[in-house]
Amino acid sequence: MTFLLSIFLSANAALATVNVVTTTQDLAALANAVGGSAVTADYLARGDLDPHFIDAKPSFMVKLSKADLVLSVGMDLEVGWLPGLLTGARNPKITPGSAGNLDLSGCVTKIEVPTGMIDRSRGDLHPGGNPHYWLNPENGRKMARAIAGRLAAIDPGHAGEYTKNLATFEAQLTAKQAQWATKMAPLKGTNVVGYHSTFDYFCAVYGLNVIGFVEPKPGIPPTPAHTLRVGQAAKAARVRWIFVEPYKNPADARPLATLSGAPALLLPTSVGAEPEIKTYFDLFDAIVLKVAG
Amino acid sequence: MLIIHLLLASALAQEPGAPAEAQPPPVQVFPGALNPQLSFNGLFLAGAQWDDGALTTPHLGGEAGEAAFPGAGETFGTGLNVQEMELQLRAAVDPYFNANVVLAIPGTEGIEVEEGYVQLVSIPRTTITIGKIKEAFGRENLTHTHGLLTIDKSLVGQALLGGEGLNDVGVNAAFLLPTPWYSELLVSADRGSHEGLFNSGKPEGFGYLAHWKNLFEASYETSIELGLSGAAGLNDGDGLSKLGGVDVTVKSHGRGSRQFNRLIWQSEFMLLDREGADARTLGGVYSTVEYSLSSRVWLGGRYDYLGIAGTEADKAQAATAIFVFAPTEFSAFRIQAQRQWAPGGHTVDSVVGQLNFTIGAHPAHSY
Repeated sequence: MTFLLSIFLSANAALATVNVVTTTQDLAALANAVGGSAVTADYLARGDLDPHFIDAKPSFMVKLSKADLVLSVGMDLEVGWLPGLLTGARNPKITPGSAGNLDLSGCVTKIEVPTGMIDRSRGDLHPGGNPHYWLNPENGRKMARAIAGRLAAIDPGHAGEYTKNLATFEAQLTAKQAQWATKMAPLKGTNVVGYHSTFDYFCAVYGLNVIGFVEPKPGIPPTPAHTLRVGQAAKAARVRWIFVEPYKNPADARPLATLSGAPALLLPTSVGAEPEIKTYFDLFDAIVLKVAG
Repeated sequence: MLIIHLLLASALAQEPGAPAEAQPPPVQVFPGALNPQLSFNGLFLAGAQWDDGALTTPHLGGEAGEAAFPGAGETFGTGLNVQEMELQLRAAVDPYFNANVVLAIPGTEGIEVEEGYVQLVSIPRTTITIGKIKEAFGRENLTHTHGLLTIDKSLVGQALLGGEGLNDVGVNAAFLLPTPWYSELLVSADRGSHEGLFNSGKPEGFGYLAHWKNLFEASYETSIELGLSGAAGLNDGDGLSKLGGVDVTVKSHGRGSRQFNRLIWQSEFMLLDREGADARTLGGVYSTVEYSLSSRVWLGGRYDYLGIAGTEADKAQAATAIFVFAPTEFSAFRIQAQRQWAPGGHTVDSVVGQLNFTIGAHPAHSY
């Protein structure tokens, strides 16, 4: 009996591979970095698409039905599409609150948490704060730690591997952060305009001042009066760039660019936004290269 | 054994050197956090209608949904109207069940339970739903009024399933089949109280339905959905009513900044075979196409044909064009122009504007 019990336990202590499904490609990149060969990580929202507006395709339910762990950004970023997919997946392992469901917003430093009365007259506001937190590399570190911790909890047989992979990731991140900080240092204090609040974390880390947005309110397309107001302010503030996400229409930023004299700069927001951006480090390398050269 | 296994797994997870488990988010206390998610949708109409070229009498607050001529589709008349208001409550009942209640006010009077069900969600690959349910016959029948491309339902949907659609008290089980593509088989039984279809009034007069839904991906951006539906039950003519349907939907969107350029083509065929008193066979099709120029503006159209396998008196057609401007996800303006060719050579022309708004919890987007 003891022998059979030990066989049963050893067989179950380490999963062959943990099947991780993530809402965004950034999270899949982190899961791959931390999980290594012990996980297979797949994503739902491709990196060139707006993660607020992903089609809840039934084929995503098939992916989720086989998942051991689902990772999400949270803070209502996926509220329009993930809840229905989780129900449709019919997989009790990944229901909210279970060990197989990790909302990473619980482990990161957040900014722009709204105060006062919150309603949609303020646009498509996220009550928990700005959800684009993965664009702060220190949050990437926290996310990697949380993923490693959860992987070890559900797959203790590979805990040592996760620890080792996490240490490697953190060492690389620390080195990369030093490189990015060096390149971005001359730009500290530069004024920029965002299309949406996507790059606010990045700008906060590297000291860029976001003086306004193409959108008059989160999620609300630009209006002529707002464009004129922000254009005048941007010209006065000698704004250097208008940061535009790959899924936004660059034409929407052109009137503001004309008014302010600042060019629109298309920046990747996620892993997968461009074919060569395959890892979390690639993402920051690409952004820093476009901004700092 | 399970307990021992869990304890050991826990101990292993806490071995020195193992990464620390993610800490749960700090506890935040929200007033009413355990209350259901509430959302409210309203649909207001303004329109004009010409029956055989004559403007219909204007009316305020009149009933929507009356056919201008026998065999024609339901129309909205001339004037201002409330099409529908809908209150939805959603919540997890406990770790095993979710609940969803949709209360609808058609027009301005009376409250109907459009849907009210609990859903067992703790069985792998299976959901079991019990309550009043919009039944999974094709695609249009599952779509709430505010989710339709056009302001009205298709002629064939109205003629065979009724204005309220196939919606009854029952139970269904939906299985996610173990195929490489999305394939769901749903079977259901309802109490058989649907006027015009399954309403025998007999103890054994249940309505039965099966729906098989498949989705194939041509690419990340393009998918093809194919559904087959069948339903049967005793009718009030001491006979069996059988209903069959096929639905096809193709969806495609662009990459990157063209994400919001979407093309959707959806078509359904339905056929009713009623035995017993008032026996008849009648079928029809509709086909819709919509194209999004941006996240805020889209154009579309629908063609209807009713009368497959029917008599001359059943034959009707409609052509509909629609323009939609949606300032945000939570509000939209639609303008619809339609001509119906009703039985008997009658025509019904209409131009209808609709304001659609939603407040409360973020709506879940269906695919």
